[in-house]
Amino acid sequence: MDDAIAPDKGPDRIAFYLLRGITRFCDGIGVTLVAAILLLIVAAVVARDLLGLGMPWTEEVASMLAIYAIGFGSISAWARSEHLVIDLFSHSLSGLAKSVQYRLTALISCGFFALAAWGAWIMSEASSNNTTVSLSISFSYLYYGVFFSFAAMALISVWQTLRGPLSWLEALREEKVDQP
Amino acid sequence: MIELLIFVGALLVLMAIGLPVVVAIGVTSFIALMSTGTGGLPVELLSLKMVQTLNNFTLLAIPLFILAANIMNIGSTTTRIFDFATALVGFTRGGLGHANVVASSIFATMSGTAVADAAGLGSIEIKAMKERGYELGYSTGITAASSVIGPILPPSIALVVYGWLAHVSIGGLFMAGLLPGILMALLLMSMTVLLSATGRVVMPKPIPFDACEVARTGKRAILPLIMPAIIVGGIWGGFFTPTEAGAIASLYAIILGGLIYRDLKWRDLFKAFNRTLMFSSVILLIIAVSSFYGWILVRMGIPQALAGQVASIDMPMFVLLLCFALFFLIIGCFMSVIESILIFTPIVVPAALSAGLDPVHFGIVMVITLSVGVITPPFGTVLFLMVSITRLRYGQVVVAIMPFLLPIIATILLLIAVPGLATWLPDAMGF
Repeated sequence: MDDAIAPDKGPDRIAFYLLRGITRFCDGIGVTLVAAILLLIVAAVVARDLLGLGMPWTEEVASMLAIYAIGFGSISAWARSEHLVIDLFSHSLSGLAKSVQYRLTALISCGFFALAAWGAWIMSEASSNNTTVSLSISFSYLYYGVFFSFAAMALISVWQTLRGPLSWLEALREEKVDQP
Repeated sequence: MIELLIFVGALLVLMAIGLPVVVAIGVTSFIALMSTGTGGLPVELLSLKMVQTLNNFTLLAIPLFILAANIMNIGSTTTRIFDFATALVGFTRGGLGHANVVASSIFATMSGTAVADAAGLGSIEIKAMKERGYELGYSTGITAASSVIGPILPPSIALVVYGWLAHVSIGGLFMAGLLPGILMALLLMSMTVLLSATGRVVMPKPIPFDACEVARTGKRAILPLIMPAIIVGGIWGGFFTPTEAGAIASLYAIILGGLIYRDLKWRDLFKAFNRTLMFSSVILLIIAVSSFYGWILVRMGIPQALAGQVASIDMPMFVLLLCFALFFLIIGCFMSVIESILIFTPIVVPAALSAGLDPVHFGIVMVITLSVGVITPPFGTVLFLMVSITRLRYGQVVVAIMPFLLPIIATILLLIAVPGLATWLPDAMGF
């Protein structure tokens, strides 16, 4: 999105900078979390194999951080339209057909994410007394990660449904990070 | 069976209208859940299954091995490996074709996906082959085909996902992939010899063998070459789990690029982490939602019914596995390896087990056959990558790859006929 040209004026310009801000924020937090997971696991291996110290809690923390990393990464990927799609015909659509197809998929996605976020919220309340084994962290915190991720993607989908396909969003997709 | 058709049919229709795979799987699951007559839609079950899945240390192997491959794709590691492979086998006719396969095999033991191999080594290999006068079509074909070794040799992201879903030792699966991966490499090299001998591809004059060059490039590549030994040796020796092996491999790649070779900048490192985050998030979110899908499948009794049907079929094991392989080859043309494993493992593995197939052998056959999809039309990701690297037309890339499908199919047939190729090593190593 750094290379994409912002729309001149109006709500689109606000949406452009808002989405850019969201993706940058999510990327920053997500990368920090992945780095933290890496460091935790390496520390656990070094402590166990070289120093003879067991750090079983690192597995718990690493898994928890992973849920948040996936959450932030998913939001960023959703804003960039980076989630995997089997594109059988939509690339060849144009005009009204493309707009209808885009809005329909965004609407269905929005409904799914809203239901999933609602479910995560229910589980976060139901699990407040369930805790992890080593550090006694409430499972609610795990569900909060899922909730925030789905809620944010639902909000972006609402905007996509209302606004329809945009050229600068395509540019955003083109500047996607390469997958290995 | 009707439920299965409706379930899989709805999923395919939703994906076909352009819904992201994760949403298509989730929506199908919700529809199925409503149709089971529970008297409502218990939406919290999705989050419950998702957290149960993601709160899992084993699955962290996926981002960590992807990270290791991403870091190695920056800087000089891939060039060092290719230079060494060229010095090692470049003296033969079609030498750079062989070097291509050898380099891809070495890289495959450090990364876990075909696309990582094609993206990292592909441009280097094709550029070098072009400079030495190799036909672009041949160079493209062998580069793309050799990338299929990536998901077979350990570590393999696809095998991690399969092992987790099918409750099979991931370390055992890693070992099981070794011999089929080496076999495929040898058969791909044989195809180069055949193409050269029959005159179908005109190969440039080989470079004379130079032991000093082998030693020099070997010295330059020695540190990256140690990485597979660390991964496989560490897991086999019980020093660390596959997930921890991924972390150690990533750290090793950072030390190599940042401290020893000094060609890894902070900005590049951030990009590598960001690529890892994007790819892993997309894949792991699909895995998490798929666990809900798998749970509903079991609740509806679909795998059990299918297992009963398959067990009642009076068919030799070889033919049955061949049918499965054909099915996966077709599926692989339309869906990515990970998606296919996620969707079909809960359905087909109980059936395969009830028919008496070995889960390790079946897993290797499944992963190899699905992996062929990365180089077959219409959605082969490596095909698109080759188009962007070579600037050839899509159709030209497809034609270039065709001859190399033969050794890959031959590997699959041999693997089906000789289960020991997959099961002997893990058995011998005590997995």
